[in-house]
Amino acid sequence: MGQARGEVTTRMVDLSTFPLAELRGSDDPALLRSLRQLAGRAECSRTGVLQNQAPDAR
Amino acid sequence: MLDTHRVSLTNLDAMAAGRSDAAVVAQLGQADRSRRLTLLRAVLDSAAELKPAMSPLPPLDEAWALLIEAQHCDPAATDRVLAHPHTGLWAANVLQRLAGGGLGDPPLWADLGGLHRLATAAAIRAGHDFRSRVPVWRGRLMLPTLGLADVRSRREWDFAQVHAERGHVLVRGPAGSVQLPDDSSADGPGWSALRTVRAGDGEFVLDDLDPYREFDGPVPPQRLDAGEVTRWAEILGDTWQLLTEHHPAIAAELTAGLTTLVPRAAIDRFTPYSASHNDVFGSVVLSRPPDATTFAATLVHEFQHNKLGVLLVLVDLLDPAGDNDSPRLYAPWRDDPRPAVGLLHGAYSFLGVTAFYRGHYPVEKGLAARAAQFEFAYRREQTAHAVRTLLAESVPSALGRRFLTIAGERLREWGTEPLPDDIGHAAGRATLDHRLTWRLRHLRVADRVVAELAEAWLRNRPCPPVPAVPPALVPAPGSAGHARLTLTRTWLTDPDLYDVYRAEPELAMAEISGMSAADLALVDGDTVTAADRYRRRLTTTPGSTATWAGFALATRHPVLLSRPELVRAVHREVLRQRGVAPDPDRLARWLG
Repeated sequence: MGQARGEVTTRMVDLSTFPLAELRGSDDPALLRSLRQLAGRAECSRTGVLQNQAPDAR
Repeated sequence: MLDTHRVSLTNLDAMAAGRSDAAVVAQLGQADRSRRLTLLRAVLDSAAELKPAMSPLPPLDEAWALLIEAQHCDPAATDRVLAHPHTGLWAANVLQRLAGGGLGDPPLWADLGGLHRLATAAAIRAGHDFRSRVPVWRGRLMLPTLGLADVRSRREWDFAQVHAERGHVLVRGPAGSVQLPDDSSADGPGWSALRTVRAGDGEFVLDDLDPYREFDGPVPPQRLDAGEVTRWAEILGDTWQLLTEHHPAIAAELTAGLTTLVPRAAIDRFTPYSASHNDVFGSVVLSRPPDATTFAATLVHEFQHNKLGVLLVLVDLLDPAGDNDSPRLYAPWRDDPRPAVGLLHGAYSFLGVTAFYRGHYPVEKGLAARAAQFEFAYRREQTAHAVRTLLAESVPSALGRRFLTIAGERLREWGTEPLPDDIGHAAGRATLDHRLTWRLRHLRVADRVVAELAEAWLRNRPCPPVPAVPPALVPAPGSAGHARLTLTRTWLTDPDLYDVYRAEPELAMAEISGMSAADLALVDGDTVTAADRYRRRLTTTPGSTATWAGFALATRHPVLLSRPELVRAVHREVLRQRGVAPDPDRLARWLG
């Protein structure tokens, strides 16, 4: 993540126009960097349901 | 090399200021699409490396090939399935399971088989001829974005075969087959189609079928009857009219990003349910709201979570190296201590809700206007407090500090907007009530401090200086109860019922859990009577959190308002040592 010219650059690869058929075999560095980041995040994340009140408080 | 997503500071600042912008949502949606595709690639890579047993399903390669064929036939139809709200969450969950060895329920092949279901749904939508095998849970096959086929099985997890040819789709299950109707958006024998409800020119999916619709899963379908669907359609129609007439930017933003409403029962008469997931963009779970304003506010609240969930994938607003995950912070809308990331999510959601009510109270009249003014003032105070807490007690990144500072400035601007005195007073009391209650429930003064103060009191000495030791956080389980808030909302929205409660306090106490006659006097503005009643309650229930908070609100003793946990702890210790409770007013004055 960096900041330049009024915008923040992120590590998330932009796949807006990327064909699905090329996704699996691609070794594009930006894709691989995103892949590592998201996979690492998914494997150790403690994501959860967002509520205004704790589920056990109901 | 492929480019990466960028976030303009102008857009980021607009989000921080609580503005709605469909173009920003479209960009977040694109970023979420990239995230989903990257996660799908990660699942394929991980499965290729670990080679999990997929029997009775074919290898994942076949699902991937089918998905590519579907995209080749009809890219838009395939994109619609890829954009199914739960695709990203499914991929993230599967990656976590693969990393952990894949043990537990459901069987890994069935979980991974989600990709077969996704590819099959995309191929059906694309009109592609194909054969596939898909996992079936309790005899039912869910095809994302399409519907549920009842193919029957006695096993918890089983499989079905799908055969599509020239637009005809047959699902063969273990004990039954289902032919999808030519128009798969209509119900047919053994087939329940996902229904949609109109919202202006667009529509939302009303998902009562998907086993993963409530984020954790699987859960059985809860098919709404025709009458209930009509009621959802009517209330959504009213809500959409309200939004398009008075809040067009919010309507445009929701149209750009929200696709799915998942109906669920309310918690009780006074407590609607709504939830979202920080890994799911485009879907909210909610009970049917009682009116259009509540519906609109709920959509705003949950969609703010959706937006921030994607933004936090793109940028770090909290320092990854800081302590932002341990539940230690006060959140004005939660009874339990929260981690910084949870408080940030809540603050951002209520920033949106505050902005909504700020724009909404001028368009309402009478009681509805007063109720909207209260919600504006109440949410404004709560959110401002949360933003101050995040700036002071969490570890934001430089970008996060900028984000929070802009949000704080915006809330300060809104704080200068004049409101009727009684509304502002009620909102201030509700905010303070929650904070006092939270302190009483979760903060514990050091034993030696309490012992020293109790000894001085018992020896009739002046109060010694209270050591500057912050109280320890000792989280209490369960709920705090919100009787005074419920009563305040009744006072605002249903004055006739409130008058009945005044005349018959026993009825109010029977209908509002945990309410006392003292609470009624407090909400009524009779603080002398309220203080007297709380004082008497303290003689019989000296440990009651709700009574101490009410007593603090009625008497406004400075030390009770700033450190109620200290007064109660010394009160408790004196009672323990002497067997007689000290006078709470005298004790508060002595400590203050």
